[in-house]
Amino acid sequence: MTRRHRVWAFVALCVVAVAATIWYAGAAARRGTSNTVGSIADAGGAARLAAPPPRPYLISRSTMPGDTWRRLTLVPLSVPAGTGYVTDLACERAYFAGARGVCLVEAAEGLTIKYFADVFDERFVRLHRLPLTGLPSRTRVAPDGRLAAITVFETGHSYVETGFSTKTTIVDTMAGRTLTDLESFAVSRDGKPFRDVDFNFWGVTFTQDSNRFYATLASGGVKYLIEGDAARRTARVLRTGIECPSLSPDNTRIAYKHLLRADGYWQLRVHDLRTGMDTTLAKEVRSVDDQVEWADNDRILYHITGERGADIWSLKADGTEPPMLVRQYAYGPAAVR
Amino acid sequence: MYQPEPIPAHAPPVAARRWGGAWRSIAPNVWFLGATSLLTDLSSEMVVSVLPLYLVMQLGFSPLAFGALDGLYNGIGALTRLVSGVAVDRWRQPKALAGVGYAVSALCRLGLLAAGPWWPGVAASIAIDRLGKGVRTVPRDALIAQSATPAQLGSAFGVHRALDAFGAVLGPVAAFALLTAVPRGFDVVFVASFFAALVGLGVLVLFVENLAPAQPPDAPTTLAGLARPLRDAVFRRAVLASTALAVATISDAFVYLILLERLGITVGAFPLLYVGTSLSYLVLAVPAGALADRWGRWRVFLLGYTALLAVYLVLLSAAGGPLAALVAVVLLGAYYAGTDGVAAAFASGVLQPERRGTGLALLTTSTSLARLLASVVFGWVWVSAGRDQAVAVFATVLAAGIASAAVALVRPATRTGGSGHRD
Repeated sequence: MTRRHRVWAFVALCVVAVAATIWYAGAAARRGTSNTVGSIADAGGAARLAAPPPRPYLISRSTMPGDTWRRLTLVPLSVPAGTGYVTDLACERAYFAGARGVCLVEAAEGLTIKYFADVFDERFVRLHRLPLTGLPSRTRVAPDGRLAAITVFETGHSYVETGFSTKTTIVDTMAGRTLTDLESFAVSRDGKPFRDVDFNFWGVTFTQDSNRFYATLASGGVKYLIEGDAARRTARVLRTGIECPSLSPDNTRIAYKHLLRADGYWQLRVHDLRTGMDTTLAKEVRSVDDQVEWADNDRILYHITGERGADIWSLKADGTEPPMLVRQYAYGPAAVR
Repeated sequence: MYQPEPIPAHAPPVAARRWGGAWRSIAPNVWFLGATSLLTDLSSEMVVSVLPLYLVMQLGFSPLAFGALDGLYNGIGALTRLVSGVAVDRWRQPKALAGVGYAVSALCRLGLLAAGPWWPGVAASIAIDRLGKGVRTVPRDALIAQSATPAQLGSAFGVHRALDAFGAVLGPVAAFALLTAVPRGFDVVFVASFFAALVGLGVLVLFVENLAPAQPPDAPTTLAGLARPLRDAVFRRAVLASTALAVATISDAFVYLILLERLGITVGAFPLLYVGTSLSYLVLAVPAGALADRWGRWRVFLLGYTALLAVYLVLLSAAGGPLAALVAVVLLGAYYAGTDGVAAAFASGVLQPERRGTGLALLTTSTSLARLLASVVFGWVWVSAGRDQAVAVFATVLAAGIASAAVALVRPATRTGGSGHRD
């Protein structure tokens, strides 16, 4: 091949490459818009519910590849594996209680990624949008729907082992504004003030009065269970070894993850607030890195990230039965009663 | 792109009196290899910059699993380089070998597309991509060294690394532009990345000339002869010094992490720090290479590590705000400009041409393994003693390392004419 031939071959290669890329991007853009507009009717073969199911229902984020990806999906709690109602909300994490929900959103804007907390109502329409300072991690809404807690990773989202930092804020869902940061709370331990610069809070779970809450506080490598009061801005340390607490609907037990091995193996346990006893849910042998959710007073729900996304499983809270698969291609369960 | 006049690969050494002189007398082969690297880096950085987003946010991967995979991949890359380096010396077909490496990486983009959300497919695609990178690095550097005159090795590597860094700047920009145009269009990013890699491979196949040392090796090169280049005292000291300095290196990811923590800005700014470092590297690579040719390659190499030491001091200082981040990012780019291409130029200058593949492979493998070790140690010191303490320990070790390397290397290198053209 002469030099001239080679130059022409190269020009041809460039033309083919550019044309093929533009053609593919154009096709993908058309596919994208046809999926987001009027998506609920166009289900691509899979049937969908035309309206939200009656309560109690399960909200989760779809991990099914395709046009339902990331979208909040509602299924009746009685038949959770079946057909669902797909909302227009696409979230990393979400929760709903009372008449308000919170959807933590990630949006690419040019070179940077921005994170938001969207407050929505029972029609799944966005009411407020609050900027977040880091990667969405956890969110919970108080039973009456007036307060919400949001946890983000500020640093170390990919270096869990080496000094991450979280920020947990309490949000007024009616006014759509941030009320306070747990780091400004007056924390006490054994009746004495407890303060340190390395405080990290996460995993809030609200009590029935929609003001008090339980959460995790980490300091000096130790994880504490704290009980807080949102109105008074106070919290006290109850005990250690409880991470990501989740309060049962009757407020008698806390389901939590317990770090069994330093490489990130978490075991599910239930702490009984009346007796102080802990039950290990040993029938679940896989590591569970999630703030679990109570389906009712007997069963808990959680997701397991597997080979092809995530699935939601359930477990009896007394640890007597092996885990059951509840819904495939679903992440972040929230039971709405 | 600016195309220089063709110059024979072994043109008589041009005394680079003018800075522009170094620029103009770079062989076309180096420009073409640079163009291939630009397009390939554009292609791979497009994928790399969206991969955490894709895996962690879209597929629900655990970030820890992603970190573990990344460590494994770096190990694969290091070992592949050794084998590929020996193969360059044995078969003397660096162009074909580099072509295989580039082709493998290009095909991986299609693998990523085909794998969809099936994570073993995604993990395998990334692993094979790193394998391709491991295969091509040494033959490519051997080709650059063979295409340049001994006096201009620094400039040649500087030009190549600048083009490479330019690709690293364009990649994330292109990826995020595509994602803005086609929301959630990760497949579009993979397709565009594939075609960019294909065009890069086209430049290599159509325009790069295969240059191998004129004389055959005195004995057949085998894996057993891996240690042979180490018999040369100057090269041995170079490997020892660069490995020792690499042990005191805090990886970019940690530097960015500390910056973010200190400045209290959102994790969304992470890509900006990354692009800023590449920009600084891009601007400084050619001047650093030219300076290395004139002033001595080891001096510039140690200056590069001094820039890294300055990064540590910024991390330790009380100074905050975007200005501190900017200074740190510029210095980090200067560190890359002063060390990466310059080390390759130095090694290429002292190695016998027929042992260059093996020698370059030894150098890059030992430094990258040392960096891997450094990351583990740094993470461990951070957790057990604290962040600032970890940076202080690394700064002390690095300062001691620079001082001892200066004593061990700069003087003998000057005496033996190690910077190539001093006789």
